[in-house]
Amino acid sequence: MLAANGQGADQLYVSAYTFGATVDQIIGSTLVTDDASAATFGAMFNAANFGLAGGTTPTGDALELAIGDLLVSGNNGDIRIIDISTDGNPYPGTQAAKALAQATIASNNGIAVNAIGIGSNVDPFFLDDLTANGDGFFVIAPDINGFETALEQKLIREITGVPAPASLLLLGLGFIGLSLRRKSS
Amino acid sequence: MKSLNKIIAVALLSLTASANAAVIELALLLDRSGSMISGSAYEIQ
Repeated sequence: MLAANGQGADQLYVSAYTFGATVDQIIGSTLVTDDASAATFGAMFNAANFGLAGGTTPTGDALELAIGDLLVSGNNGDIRIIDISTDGNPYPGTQAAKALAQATIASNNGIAVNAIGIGSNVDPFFLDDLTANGDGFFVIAPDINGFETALEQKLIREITGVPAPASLLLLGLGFIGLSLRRKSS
Repeated sequence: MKSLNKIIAVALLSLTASANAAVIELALLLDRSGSMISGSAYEIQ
């Protein structure tokens, strides 16, 4: 992220993994400092082989790997964030407990875990528990068409620390879903 | 003067085939977020 008014630039390193049948790093740690490097990262993203998810959703394994990378990386950051984007729930069931345990480890090490859940199949209870430690938060996009908006609002919140109005709406929708589910259970 | 931060972010993605379009949108968003962040008043304090 760049600081405004010529005060110099923050340094943003981004890496990306997919988790489905396996957990795979698709982009290694990449420094993004300006429009050009952001575009380069976007191009790498488009060119990556995503091996789209299916069969299993090893959320716990993915978090374990991401936390391990963050803790052993030579790029020790002032701010460390794990962003999860998913339209499914941990599977097999042991992955949910493992993910929550890993989220606690992340929190204990000052790593924020944020999430975007996409669609009606995502369990907002799980995302709430997953991101409740530390400074994490989650948003729910009602469908794939809302994913981009949710992601943008999440980025703004991560950068400014203040939820944007649309982000609050999405978060509100998530908690309405939680409330309805609690009433129905 | 604000101090500069080193930010390390890891993106974890689990999307089914039906969400394939999201992958492309995410890439585009990353492009735009670079523009949005670098050209805006957003600063990490």
